[in-house]
Amino acid sequence: MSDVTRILGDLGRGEGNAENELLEAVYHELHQLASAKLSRERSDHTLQATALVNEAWLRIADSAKGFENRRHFFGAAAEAMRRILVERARKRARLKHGGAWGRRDLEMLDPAAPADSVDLLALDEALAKLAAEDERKAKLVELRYFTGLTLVEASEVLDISKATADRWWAYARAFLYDEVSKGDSRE
Amino acid sequence: MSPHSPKLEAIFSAALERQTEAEREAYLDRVCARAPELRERVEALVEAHEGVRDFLETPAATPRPPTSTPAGEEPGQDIGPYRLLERLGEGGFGVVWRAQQTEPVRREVAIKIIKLGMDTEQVIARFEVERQALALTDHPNIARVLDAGATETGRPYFVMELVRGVSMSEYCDTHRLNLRQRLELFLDVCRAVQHAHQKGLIHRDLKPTNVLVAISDQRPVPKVIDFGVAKATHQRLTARTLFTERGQLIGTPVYMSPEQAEMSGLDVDTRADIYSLGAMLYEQFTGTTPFEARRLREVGLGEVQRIIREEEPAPPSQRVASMGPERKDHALRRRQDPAHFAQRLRGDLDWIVMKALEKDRTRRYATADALADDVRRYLANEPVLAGAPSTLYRLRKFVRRNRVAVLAGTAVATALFIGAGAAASGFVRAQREARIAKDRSEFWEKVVDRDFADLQGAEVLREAGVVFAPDHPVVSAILLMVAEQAREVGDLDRSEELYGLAIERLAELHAEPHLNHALALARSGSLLADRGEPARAETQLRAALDIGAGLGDEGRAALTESREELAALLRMRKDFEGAVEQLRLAVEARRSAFPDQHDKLSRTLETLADTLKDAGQTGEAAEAARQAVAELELAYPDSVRTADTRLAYGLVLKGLGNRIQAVQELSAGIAFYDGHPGLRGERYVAGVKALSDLLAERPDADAHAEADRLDEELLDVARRLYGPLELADLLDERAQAAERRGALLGALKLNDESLGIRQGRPGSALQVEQTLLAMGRLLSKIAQGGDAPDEAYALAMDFAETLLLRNPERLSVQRLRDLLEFRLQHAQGSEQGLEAIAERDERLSEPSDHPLDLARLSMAHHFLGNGPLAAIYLRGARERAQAALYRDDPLVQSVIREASALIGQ
Repeated sequence: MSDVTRILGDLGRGEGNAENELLEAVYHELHQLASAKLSRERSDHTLQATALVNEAWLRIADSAKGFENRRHFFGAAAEAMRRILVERARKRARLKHGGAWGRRDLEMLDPAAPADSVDLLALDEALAKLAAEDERKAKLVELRYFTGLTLVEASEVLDISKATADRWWAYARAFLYDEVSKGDSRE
Repeated sequence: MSPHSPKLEAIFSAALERQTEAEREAYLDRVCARAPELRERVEALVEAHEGVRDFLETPAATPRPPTSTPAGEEPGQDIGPYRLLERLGEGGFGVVWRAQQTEPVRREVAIKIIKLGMDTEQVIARFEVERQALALTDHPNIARVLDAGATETGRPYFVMELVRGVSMSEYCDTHRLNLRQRLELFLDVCRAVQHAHQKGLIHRDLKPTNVLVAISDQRPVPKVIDFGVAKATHQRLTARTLFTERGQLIGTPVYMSPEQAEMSGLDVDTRADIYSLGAMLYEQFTGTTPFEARRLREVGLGEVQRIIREEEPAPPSQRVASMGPERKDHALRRRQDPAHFAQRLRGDLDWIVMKALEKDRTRRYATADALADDVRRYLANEPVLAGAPSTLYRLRKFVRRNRVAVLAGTAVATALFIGAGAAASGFVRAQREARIAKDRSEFWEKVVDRDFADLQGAEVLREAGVVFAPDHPVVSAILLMVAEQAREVGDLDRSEELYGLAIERLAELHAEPHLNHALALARSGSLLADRGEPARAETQLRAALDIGAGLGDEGRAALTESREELAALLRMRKDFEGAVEQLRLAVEARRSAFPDQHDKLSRTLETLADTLKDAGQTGEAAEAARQAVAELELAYPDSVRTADTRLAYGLVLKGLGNRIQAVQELSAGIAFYDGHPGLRGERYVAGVKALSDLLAERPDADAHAEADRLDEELLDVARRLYGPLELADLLDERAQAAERRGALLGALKLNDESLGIRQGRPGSALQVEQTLLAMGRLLSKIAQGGDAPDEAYALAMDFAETLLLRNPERLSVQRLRDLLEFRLQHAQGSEQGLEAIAERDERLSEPSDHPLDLARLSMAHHFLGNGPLAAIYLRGARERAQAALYRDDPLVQSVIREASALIGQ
């Protein structure tokens, strides 16, 4: 985790390409954490994004405290978590069609298994569209949905008021819901 | 994607604010008059908005919370799937009920219904954030939080595992537990808190009433309740939340950490719980809390905060010593001799409690485990870590005590606070040479009291330059001091800068090798290592050691820890040889300079052993581990640490293939724990496992019996220490070990226990599957040999039947069951039984053509005297066994061989 800590330091000093580096490092960390959990521990729990992110944060919180760091971290973690979940969903979809899948694979690849859950791939596409329109609204969704922050916490990370967050949230949800259900009806 | 984006969102939001359809239409008519496309888009979004329901409201992978619950807060009424049975009690924030859950399982639970006045939505939202972590929390000493929701009247409630017990203080006092028993209970609490912390959960409201003690197997088992509840119902500490209208104190600020009392509310971490554990321990020892509730009740909020933030409570021993006549009663309740009770607390126990209660959380124990380790050390008569206060702490005390002498400043201070052994000689020199100025002394005190702890390097230089000459040697000492302080509060950038300035000045000051210069480099290297800059850290540490090399023995001794840090860096980048070299030098330095510090030397030796293992030099590793044991043996022959180190040594020996000696060492380590069953933990479990495996390798039955006994003992400990799922893993693992040593029935029992734990738990499907496979394998091994005693077949058949009850569709188990039944009937010589088997098979509407079934039937008919039929079945079995599917199946092949031999074909 020392990487993340160092990069957070760089960010604090406004140095270099730290933003991207942070994303990579956090992604790496979360990914490892997820794989480690799945291989080492009993696979009895589904992988929960929020718990994972919180655990990752807790690991570095000692050496990188402070609200700024927390903000940077959660911002990066939201995106990283989205990537991880979407990758897994994609892989799973591929396996479903491609045949050779082990039971183990299935469990590993399907961290977010509630049956009624959102179609992650469709959501991912819709989020990309939303981001093209307004990146920060997409970020708000990432924070809420992929790291489980409350609206208030997410508004703190984005540095917007609660009222703005409320408005954005309503808009983003409508936007995404519209996109996702359009996709559904096409199929 | 939309050309109207910014506007689109504004219009959408404005449209939503219009309550009625008509208003909305009118609004859109007006603003989108000339943009039909835009209007269409807005309308699509509004429509989507109306359909979203809870889309995305539940974070990815979070189970959905129950949404609605009928009301009812009287006995007999229902809240969701829970029926309220009995009011158990009432706390500051809510009422606790015993309730009956009917769906999906029938069980009794505890429900805490939060009082009115909290924002239900927020409480539940906050709980949701914790829910995942709570779901991961699985520990025998934590009462599980099962659910949360809102009553019909909108009050949040929490559902918890029902614990039938009394609060920890009540239990300890009514059972008159002595100090050791209290500490052992406390260890369990620490373990539980540690477990939760590792899952990302902070309790935030640990106090004796949140630890209930239940009796299980005639042992007291503490259970921490309300995990996740405090966070969810957390409100900022304000006059309103702290006091009721009548001014009664409702919160529990006596166990609350200073950072929580600060009300910032933003930045509370696991160390807040450590403080609360400290306060609970304080109460265990003294019968009073660090700050008395009565006193806090009499003052206002601001004063409460000030007290918690600033006042140092008296150490427990002093508190007890200053008690009046109640001391006798108090001591007797702890079964202590009143005359010596305070004395017993003085020293280690005082230290442990006060370290947990540090105002500055960076000086507290970093983890609940660390606190527990110190308690363990105390119980095992080892030196506690809390006894070695930090450098700054030492320096502050020193400055206070030796005001005059310290005024001299200069080299003394530098050497002193860096913790070098050179202090004493410098001290004398300083006394001789110094003329003391009052403002210098005051300046020093300010430095030590952290008055300058926030300053940047340049500001420190300016301040110091006013009192001392700018090029005065003491200025570099001040820089280093402030650097240390910045580091302690976590301002690492500034700390690094300050070290840099100090090193610069010291380099100019001392052209010749000088200890202070080396130490400054060493400290800066250690900071860089902490910051995750191994390359730069290595450079600094090496520079420090180079200078140290020019200083002879003194330098070598003072830089031993830096050498160890360098070794750690080298080991991290897998330069094992380099690390070993440094560690060997460190061992040498410790042996010559600090021969009495057995504990530290043994730790270095242990690290050396681990590193040698990494490097693949197992033989050398064993030697280092042996020396580590020898070192501890000298100082603390009968202690946990020695036992654990012995176990580690035994493990290395085992890896080396030196079985006989490994058994000796492991047995010796385990023997210690036989005398201290309360201290058994992970290391013990690892040691027993290894010993049991070693014994299993021996051919003699005695060794195997001993391995069986060890496994039983180990599992006894694990059943107490482990959460159910960890326990299930261990059971499966030990089942494999038992299988390897041929204890097939024992292995079956272990698998069965693990199956019982796992079945029905969501997500356990894969492990359940593996356990079932293992059981199938065991059953087939038992069925394979035709010469086991009756009871073995009977038992195995029981297991097979249980398996079938759980998984009726498993034909393979069915087949094994039938084979075992045949073995049993045959072993018992029961012709009737065999006939029943043969008849039943013939009555089947779809007779099996599996070679195993056919071979079994052929043997059954053979024993019944139906030669021709036996031959027909055997032929069929042999034919079918040729199929590729069965060619490699050892069971099929061995049973066919058996039948062939029997029938003579």
